Amino acid sequence: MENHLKDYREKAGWSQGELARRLGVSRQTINAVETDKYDPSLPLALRMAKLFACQVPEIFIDHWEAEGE
Amino acid sequence: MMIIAAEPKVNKTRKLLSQLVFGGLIGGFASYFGLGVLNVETMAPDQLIVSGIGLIYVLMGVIVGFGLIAPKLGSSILNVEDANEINEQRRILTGSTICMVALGAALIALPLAGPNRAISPLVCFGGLVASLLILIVISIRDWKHYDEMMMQLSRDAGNIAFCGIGGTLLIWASAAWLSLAPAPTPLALVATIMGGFLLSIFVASARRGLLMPR
Repeated sequence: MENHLKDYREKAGWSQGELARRLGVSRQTINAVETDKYDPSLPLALRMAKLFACQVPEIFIDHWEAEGE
Repeated sequence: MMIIAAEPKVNKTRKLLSQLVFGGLIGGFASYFGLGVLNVETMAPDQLIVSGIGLIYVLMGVIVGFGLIAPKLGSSILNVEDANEINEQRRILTGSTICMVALGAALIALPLAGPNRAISPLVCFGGLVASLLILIVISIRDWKHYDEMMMQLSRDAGNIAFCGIGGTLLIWASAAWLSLAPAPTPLALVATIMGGFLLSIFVASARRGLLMPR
């Protein structure tokens, strides 16, 4: 899923390793999310949003729109 | 919030080259000496393939083990960002090293074992069962240390292996029953299963971008 995780991380001045440590996951997971190879679980996405003090849709972009809207 | 400096970016091309050179050298030496020890001229194709797959398992275990012993040097040959990443993953990588070397050694020994052969059937079978038990114990121990992507990767690899190996054996056995192909030998089954597992892990890792140079 398209996301702005890398932008948020770099704005905070963190390396992938530092973000991984804070979220309790591996660096490979952060790298895979940033390169759109892995969509995190809802709990992990919520933790990311909490860490960057924003909403989940501000980090993860979903282009889906409900029919008729 | 504590702000730390971003880690310096390594030269990806240089790293890729060193990975290729190191992998090529290790693979070349292992093939040259390994195949010499195995006396390949006397081996049937299925024996040779099982030994070759075993050699790949052992080499992968040895390379990861080397990275664990010398993380700084290991970070230039393994697909990690730096030496710290190896230390962060030390527990899981240690388990992988032990499992790969044990399984690989059992696979190399299997074609050489049998009545009136270099290795006794009971010793070989005992070694194979022991290596599988080691794999099960380490997998259960390490499972709780996996993060969510590693768990997903593990499930992906399992699904790919199930479909790939199952499909291959179904088609092969059916074709053999219909006299359209030679029946799989016991060692061909071993090669299909163990080679299939290896291939599944590579495919699952590639799909998650883990084989991309970092």
